[in-house]
Amino acid sequence: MVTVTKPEKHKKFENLVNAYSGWLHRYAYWISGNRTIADDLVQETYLRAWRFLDSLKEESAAKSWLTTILRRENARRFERKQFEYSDVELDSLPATQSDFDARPEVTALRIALKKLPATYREPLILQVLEGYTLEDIAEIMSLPRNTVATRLHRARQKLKHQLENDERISNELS
Amino acid sequence: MNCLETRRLTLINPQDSHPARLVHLQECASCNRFARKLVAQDELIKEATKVDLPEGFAARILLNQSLQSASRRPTRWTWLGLAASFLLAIVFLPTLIEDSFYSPFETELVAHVSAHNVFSKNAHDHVTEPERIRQILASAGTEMPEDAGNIIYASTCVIDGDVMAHLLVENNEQQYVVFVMPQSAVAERSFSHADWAGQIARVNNRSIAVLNQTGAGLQPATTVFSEQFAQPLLTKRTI
Ligand SMILES: [Zn+2]
Ligand SMILES: [Zn+2]
Repeated sequence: MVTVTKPEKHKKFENLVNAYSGWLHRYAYWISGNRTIADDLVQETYLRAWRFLDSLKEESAAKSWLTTILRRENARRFERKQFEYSDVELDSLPATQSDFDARPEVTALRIALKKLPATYREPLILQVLEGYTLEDIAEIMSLPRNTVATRLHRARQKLKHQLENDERISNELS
Repeated sequence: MNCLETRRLTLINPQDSHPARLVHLQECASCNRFARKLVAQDELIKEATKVDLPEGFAARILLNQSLQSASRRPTRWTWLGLAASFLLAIVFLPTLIEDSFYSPFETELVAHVSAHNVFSKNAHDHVTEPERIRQILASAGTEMPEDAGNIIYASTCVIDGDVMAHLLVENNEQQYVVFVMPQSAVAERSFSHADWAGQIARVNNRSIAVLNQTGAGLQPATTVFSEQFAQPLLTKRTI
């Protein structure tokens, strides 16, 4: 058995934190709907990752591995709380962060995304933000590939309709 | 490839590289517009999903890990708790009384009630089914009460690291928020904090907190609830 020496393990861990904590936090926010919970989820994810770090052989698999751990941490939260994934409402993002894009179409989209059922939102986030393939997403979410395809299809359709509706309404108003 | 199939593939992935789709996009202006709209929408999603990273986030993860390796596993709350008691200790050092130590828990309770607002106005959209209520009470180690009034809503919640049942109960035409805590770690007392009045009672090794916003009927309600929600679970535990 090969045991990784301590400094090496620390180095590996630190790299994972620096490389992926930003992505994980963003992902956690959009699946949990709450910044505080997102914060906790990422912390828990890394604590677990540390414990099982030796099982990560391929550096290239790290992001999917961490993403999967985070999903499980999130699911565990629902087991504890006993309510449904889709029941969760996203809290509102602080409106006045300087680096937030405040263009009306971006704000409209942010609202539309929050209205989207979490089961649709999640594969979309994985695909658009991180470029995961259908196969990757199917594996991360433990779903058949076709189900992932259907959800992506519906997610985009719903967003598109929502935005077109918003546009129509604002045109009628002006 | 026809328009329908082109649009289907485009909705699944606007970057899809299926050659027949790309050919169709060259030839069909309408599908081309459709695809460009979705590509633009994806670009907007990238912007719209940006979330500010908390300050010192990566450093905190590393710190957390090193502390855990030292066999303690602090949560955010223990940190806040430590920081808070440290501050309290400085500020109240000369008059450090019991109350200063106890106050944080009701602050947590009230903060939770405000965040997880199931009171009054939307209570009836929330109605929890009896079987669900039974499960939730069981997870707090309690039987379904016989005569506690009308349980409108129930949920299992974690407050300050402890799992408890969070209920909305109607009794004598008043609504009360009730927390059934399987542990009795919290001392009995009355409190009023922010807009809320509350009482905490201990019965059968557990604590019950009862809150409402007027304080009306709180005392008798607490007496009723602490009897009703303190029946130990009769069924055998399945762990
Ligand atoms: Zn076409
Ligand atoms: Zn609650």
